Amino acid sequence: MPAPFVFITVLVVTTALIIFFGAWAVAADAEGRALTFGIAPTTTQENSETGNTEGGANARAAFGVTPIGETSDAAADTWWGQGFLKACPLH
Amino acid sequence: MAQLASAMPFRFHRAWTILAILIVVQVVGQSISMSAGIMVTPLRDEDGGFGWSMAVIGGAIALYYLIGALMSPVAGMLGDRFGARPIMFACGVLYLVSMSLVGMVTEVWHFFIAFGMFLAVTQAFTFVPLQASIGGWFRRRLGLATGLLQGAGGIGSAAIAPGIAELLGTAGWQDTFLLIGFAGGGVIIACSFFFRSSPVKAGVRAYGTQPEDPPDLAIPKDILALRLKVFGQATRRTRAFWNLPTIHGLGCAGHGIILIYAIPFGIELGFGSTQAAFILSFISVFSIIGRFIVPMLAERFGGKPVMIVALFLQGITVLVMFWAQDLWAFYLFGVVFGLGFGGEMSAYLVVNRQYFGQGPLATLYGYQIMGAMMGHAVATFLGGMVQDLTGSFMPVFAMSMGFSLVGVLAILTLESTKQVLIPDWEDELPPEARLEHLSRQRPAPQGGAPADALPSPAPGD
Repeated sequence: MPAPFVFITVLVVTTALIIFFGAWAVAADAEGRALTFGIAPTTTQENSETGNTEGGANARAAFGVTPIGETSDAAADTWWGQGFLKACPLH
Repeated sequence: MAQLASAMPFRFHRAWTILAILIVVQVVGQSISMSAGIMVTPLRDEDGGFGWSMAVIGGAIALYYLIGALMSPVAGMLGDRFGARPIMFACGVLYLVSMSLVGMVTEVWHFFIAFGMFLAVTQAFTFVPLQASIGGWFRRRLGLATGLLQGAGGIGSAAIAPGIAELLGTAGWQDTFLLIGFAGGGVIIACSFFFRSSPVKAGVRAYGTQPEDPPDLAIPKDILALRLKVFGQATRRTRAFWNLPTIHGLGCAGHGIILIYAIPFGIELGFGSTQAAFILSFISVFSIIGRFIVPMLAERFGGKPVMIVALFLQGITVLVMFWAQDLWAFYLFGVVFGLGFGGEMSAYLVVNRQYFGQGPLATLYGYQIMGAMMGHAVATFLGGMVQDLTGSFMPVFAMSMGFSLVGVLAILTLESTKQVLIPDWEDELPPEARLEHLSRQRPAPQGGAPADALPSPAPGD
């Protein structure tokens, strides 16, 4: 049987493209989160009467920041996001 | 008489009735893929009872492509094994059930099952074995028959889309899909009563049969299964078996990206949404010309050069998108791209005949459609991801061009279409399963030379 070189090459290149762009998307999402995490506290204002930091909660919600201990819906924290990052040697 | 039949293309032969039935079934069946785009607006409408995100709808479409891709070879195998007629009847029932289920969708998971699974299976069965069955009916002028099937199917599907959109606006979601399900399913079931899987089942010879052609025979099931197995093994030893699905996948990834992103790109250029939407009309209309002409050219000049021209045209015209600033340039792109896009997808049935001869080619065609569906899935996934990441359409269009032009390179690696690649595949069969032996045992149908005068080998029914 002739080795299906074209078939295998296209399969490998397409899979590599999917992994590369997938990992890029997940990495870009993670970098975006890191950036907003730095910005978010500057908008936080403590409520002097209640002592709550409602402003912080609002800012976290607005910027997509996940407080420690809460479940994240960011791509990098999902099984498929981690899979992309592990599979791609460039990310 | 047989020579006269082949000399007069429109002399009435049962094959033309079969072609007309297949066109009707293809038009109804292709309304599935046409309805996919129309469904998006009501599914996203927050005041319309669904209000689902694009990610959810995109997930269902991705599942549709994936299931369709996986089921295409299976549909082809069943078509080769049992014939297209029982498959057509089953398609009618499946169409009725699937469309009715889509009409009753209220939850996301309902939609994933009804559209992503049931309709994908229906589409694969409507497309693969039924289209492939035309090969058995036309010994000559398969290019014309395929062109008519693909072209008329394209016209009908394009005409059905506005009808479905109008119905959704007036009758609502549930009634629309129940109506389409019962009407379309009923039409396909009715068609199956007049359809015959092969000329031998209708007691006639295939269109254009000449004395030197292999005989049409009704082959016993056990021998047919053996012949299918050996034929499949022989095809897998050719480069064409592997490369044709790859080429179809690259071609579909190339045009899939354009079909998704041409309108948003036009709007970004500053054209109105209606003006931008006309690009798809230009692509659709001119793709019909490509669908009609290319199979005939492939039959006349050989599939390989014609496929190269069509796919090169599809790829190279994307260059226009990098410099298009005026509406006329945008539309000119639609015209030329449509010709290439229509040609890319329509020559496979003719090429299969040129490479593998008269035979049970539905399985092969199923693998090629599998490649096509995977190409669309990759285009949807990769194109969306790259556009989101870069915020620009240019890398996406470069990717489309890349897919098409790599497809051209892949075609260059194919064997010549001037001769059948596996002329001696029957040598691997036991003598009692060879056509020469079978033709001595069974009388030939009427309308051509007697079977015992036609000893040359050919695959099964």
